[in-house]
Amino acid sequence: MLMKKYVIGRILFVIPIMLILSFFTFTLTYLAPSDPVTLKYERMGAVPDKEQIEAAKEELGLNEPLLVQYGMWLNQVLHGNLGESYYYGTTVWREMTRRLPNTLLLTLASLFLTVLLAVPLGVLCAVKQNKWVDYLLRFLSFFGVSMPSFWVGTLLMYAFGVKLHLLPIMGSGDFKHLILPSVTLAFWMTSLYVRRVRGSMLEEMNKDYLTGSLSLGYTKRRIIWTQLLPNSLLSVITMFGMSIGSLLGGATIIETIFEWQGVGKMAVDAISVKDYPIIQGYVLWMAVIYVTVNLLVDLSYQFLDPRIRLGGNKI
Amino acid sequence: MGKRKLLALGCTAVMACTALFGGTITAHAESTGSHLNAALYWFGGSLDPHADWDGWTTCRAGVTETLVTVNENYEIVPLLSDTWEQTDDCTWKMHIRDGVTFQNGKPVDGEAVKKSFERAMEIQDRAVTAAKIDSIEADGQYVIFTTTEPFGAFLANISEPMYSVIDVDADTDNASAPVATGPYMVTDFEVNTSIELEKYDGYWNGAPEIDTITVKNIEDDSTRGMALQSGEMDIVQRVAWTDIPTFENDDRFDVYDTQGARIRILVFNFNNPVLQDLNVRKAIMECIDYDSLTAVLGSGVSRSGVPYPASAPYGYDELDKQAYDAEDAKACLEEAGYADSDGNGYVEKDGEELVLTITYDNTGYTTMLEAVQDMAKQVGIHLELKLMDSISDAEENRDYDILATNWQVLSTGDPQWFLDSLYKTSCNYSDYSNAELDEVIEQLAQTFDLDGREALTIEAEKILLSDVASIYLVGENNFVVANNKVQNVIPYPIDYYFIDNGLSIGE
Amino acid sequence: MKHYIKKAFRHRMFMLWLTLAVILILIPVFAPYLAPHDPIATDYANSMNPGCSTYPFGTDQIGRCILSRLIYGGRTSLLIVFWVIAIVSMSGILLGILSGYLGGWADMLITRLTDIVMAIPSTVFVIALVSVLGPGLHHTVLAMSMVGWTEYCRVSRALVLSVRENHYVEMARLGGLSEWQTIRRVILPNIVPYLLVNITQDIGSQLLTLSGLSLLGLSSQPPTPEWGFMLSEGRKFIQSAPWLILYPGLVIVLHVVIFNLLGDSLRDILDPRYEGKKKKGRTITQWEKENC
Repeated sequence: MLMKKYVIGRILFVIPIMLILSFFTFTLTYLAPSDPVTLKYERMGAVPDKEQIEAAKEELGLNEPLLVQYGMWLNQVLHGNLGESYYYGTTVWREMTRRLPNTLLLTLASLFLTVLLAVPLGVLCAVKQNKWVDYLLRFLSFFGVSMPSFWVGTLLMYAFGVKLHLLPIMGSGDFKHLILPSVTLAFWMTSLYVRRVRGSMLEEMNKDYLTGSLSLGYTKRRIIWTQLLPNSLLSVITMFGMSIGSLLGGATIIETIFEWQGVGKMAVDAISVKDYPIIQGYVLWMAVIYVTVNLLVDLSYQFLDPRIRLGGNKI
Repeated sequence: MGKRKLLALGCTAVMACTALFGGTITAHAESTGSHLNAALYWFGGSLDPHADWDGWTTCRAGVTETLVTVNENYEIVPLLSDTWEQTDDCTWKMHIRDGVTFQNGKPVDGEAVKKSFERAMEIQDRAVTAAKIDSIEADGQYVIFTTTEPFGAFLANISEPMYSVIDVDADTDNASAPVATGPYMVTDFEVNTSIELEKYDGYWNGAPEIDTITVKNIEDDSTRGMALQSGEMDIVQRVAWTDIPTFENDDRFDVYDTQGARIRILVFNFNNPVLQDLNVRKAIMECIDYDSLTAVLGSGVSRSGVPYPASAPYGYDELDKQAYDAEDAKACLEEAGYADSDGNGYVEKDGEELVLTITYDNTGYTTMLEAVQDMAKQVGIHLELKLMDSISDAEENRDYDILATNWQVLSTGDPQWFLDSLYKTSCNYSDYSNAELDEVIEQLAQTFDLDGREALTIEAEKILLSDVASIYLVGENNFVVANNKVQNVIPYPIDYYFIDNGLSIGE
Repeated sequence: MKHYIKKAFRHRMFMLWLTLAVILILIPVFAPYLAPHDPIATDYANSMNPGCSTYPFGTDQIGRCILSRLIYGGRTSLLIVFWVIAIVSMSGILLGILSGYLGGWADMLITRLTDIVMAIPSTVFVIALVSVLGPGLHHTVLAMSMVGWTEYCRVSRALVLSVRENHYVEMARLGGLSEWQTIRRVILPNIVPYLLVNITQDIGSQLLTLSGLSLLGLSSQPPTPEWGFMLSEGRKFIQSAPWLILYPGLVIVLHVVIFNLLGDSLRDILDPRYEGKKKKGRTITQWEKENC
């Protein structure tokens, strides 16, 4: 019962976050120097009439004061309508639902690769601490986290697409298209998590229960996989949640260079043409993601470690 | 539940999801007929040719057509309309080619064209102003346009893709599947991503060669080039000019280039007292080494120095082009009263250094402007560069000294629009005003025969050049790069033409 | 403090990374003496040179020396990063301390603010801010700062909460110190070592963020060289002039690696938890020996 109440409370928390975020975004866009109508004309290298621009702005309600515009938008949203994109001839909802599966796919694929690689490698590093394997992997992971992602992405595109003709380099389509962008993302994340997993494994290894388990005669392998690893993953979970959150917000840069039609690219494109309804839709999506991910992280703590009570102070 | 089970469950869930999503994405069905993959660098928001600039996309994709078109030599040639006559200064009677059908088989007649034009003018302000159409009448296979005033650029301007003829009465969503007259029809459209095309067998000029075409939107120049090399694309419009040598040296690819009608230009702000001095403008113009600039930018650009490109019939060869002359630039500065008295390498007048800012946005060639900056430094002119997110505010508020931008000078194959928009008194953001030029522009608007229009345009150019109204840095080249299987590629100087009826795939 | 300094001097790896980091910082400072050429001087005769004795790292399309541009580029790139870090660490730590120390509505307000800023991916946020502020060095710094402070705030808040529990904070309060004095004299010295590690490692991540931003068209004003901008410009030349993307990329990687390593070894020194680990690490090896 307590649990249910807690979860509902947390879910309701999305409402104030959404309100504040959307108002904040509205203010930002209101302050932005140029308007979507002029930008749209300008992008095609044309010089339109002032009258045409004014008429179009009037029609979109861009000349209203800030609070009126926000009120109009909010009213629309409360009626389940996210509005229409200024730029694409479609509704925000349709554009979002078209982009989201792509982002979800990329997120899942790169997380899957990351988990698949980072956990075993991290464990290996911890177990073989200060052996050559450990040094090599740590060295590699240092470089992995230190490379700009679009640099890695471009080099991979060049090597596998242009030179070797092995993989398609752009667009979303079948499974093959997923490989390069998800590998580029996973490359960076794996490097990060190998270090994390190693660190928390080492920390676990220093704990007292290990001696107990050893004296009970469990095998080394069994201790690692059943006791050390689950416990050490606990401390990685928050970070993992944040990674999921930011991936679901779209890996902007990766999506841009691989022409992956996800929400991150959508947001950046929308910002560059000042497509406010799309930006607002994106911001709402981020608020939902943020609240959900935080809730799930908290709940998973509860599952993995019953000592943690819900509603307690979270760092 | 044990932690281990939970972890296992989590892993399975992730895998299941991956499999699920992986499964929902079906591979493109291998069609038995010929298929072409083409890439554009920009998509409009929809496929409705009458909305915004979306007609440019449908025109590039070979879906929609206009009454007349502009060929590779900037000549206005018949398309849907095969003959026309001007019955008086304001009336144009155009005959619609017999046997033209919409992609649903319905014949195209005067009435259908009238409805299409009326729809365009209803949803698009630009369509009202560009051709100055007052009224339209249909008479069998004829359609009769009356303009609000005598307008010499009428014929050229109705070649703009926003005047594409579509079947207004068709039961379809024009935003995603317009029914038009082109060689290819839309079978599927994904906003901002791709268009699937199928050939229209009933096309009036003979059935097209290729069965199906996928048109993708690839915005990044390098990615577009790489997609061609990796074999994902067969033909792409525009690649990064830096990649051109790579393609030229690779015999798997053919590079088709033509001098486009887009120029890179430096626009002066005539509200600035310093720039009102012809000597200062001339000095800036003469300090630029145009040949080096063109060489540095490689095959991406052509030497300009005049408003209109060499491929157009507007006197490129006979005009006195803007050219490098550092000595004369220094002399001009001296005449204007500038000298380097404090020895810092930059000239000043009355103790004030000559500092001018070039404002530009992300579409400008940064490197080119850095080169110009360095060239100006050689004669003592201090140029600063200012990168803006958008230059529209600078234009509107006249908040700039020099604006680096680009202009499509022959947007519909006609020179008038450019002169009207950038130089006619009181309707340009440069605030340029020249009575002599205004008179020529006025004459141009009322001249209908092509020779007369050419002569007047050249006259206007002479005035612009002697007055150094702007600096015409370089002309951009249009590139189409295709693998060598693609045949009959025509590089159009106006870049809203791309896929056409003749395109085919060889062995 | 003396204790830490002594330990730092004994820590050989730390001294190595520190020396390298200092060298990396000094290079752009002494750029005029080190760079073989003027970074914005053009040489059309030698444009697109892949590398020779005059231009060791080659030249770009208007014949500017890449090596000199990289050396000078550090001035912009590192300066942006240091400014950002100075701003975010100070404001973040201040907010975090206030939040943790004051509690109540101040805490509530600050944590919610952190939540909101963290809810939007930082790249998108910075781009949005720059599009409002307009491009330019100062605006980039400002936008990055408005996004980057959250981590400091969270960490210092957590640290304050744990330090507060300590009896010596209470003692200080009983001893008549004001709240501000308590923060300054008691809490701050206790949490600074932890934050130093964060700051060092943040240098690397901010460098990476900056390079990502320049890909999306936000960076310094030309002709001032900047690494991220060079990298994204070089991307266009990956086929015809690969050195234009290779060298700036390597320079960025080098800086990030070294600052990360410095941060790691700094943690070894400052974090008592890691101090213990060294010894216990041996017990793991023993444990392995016993079991294998």
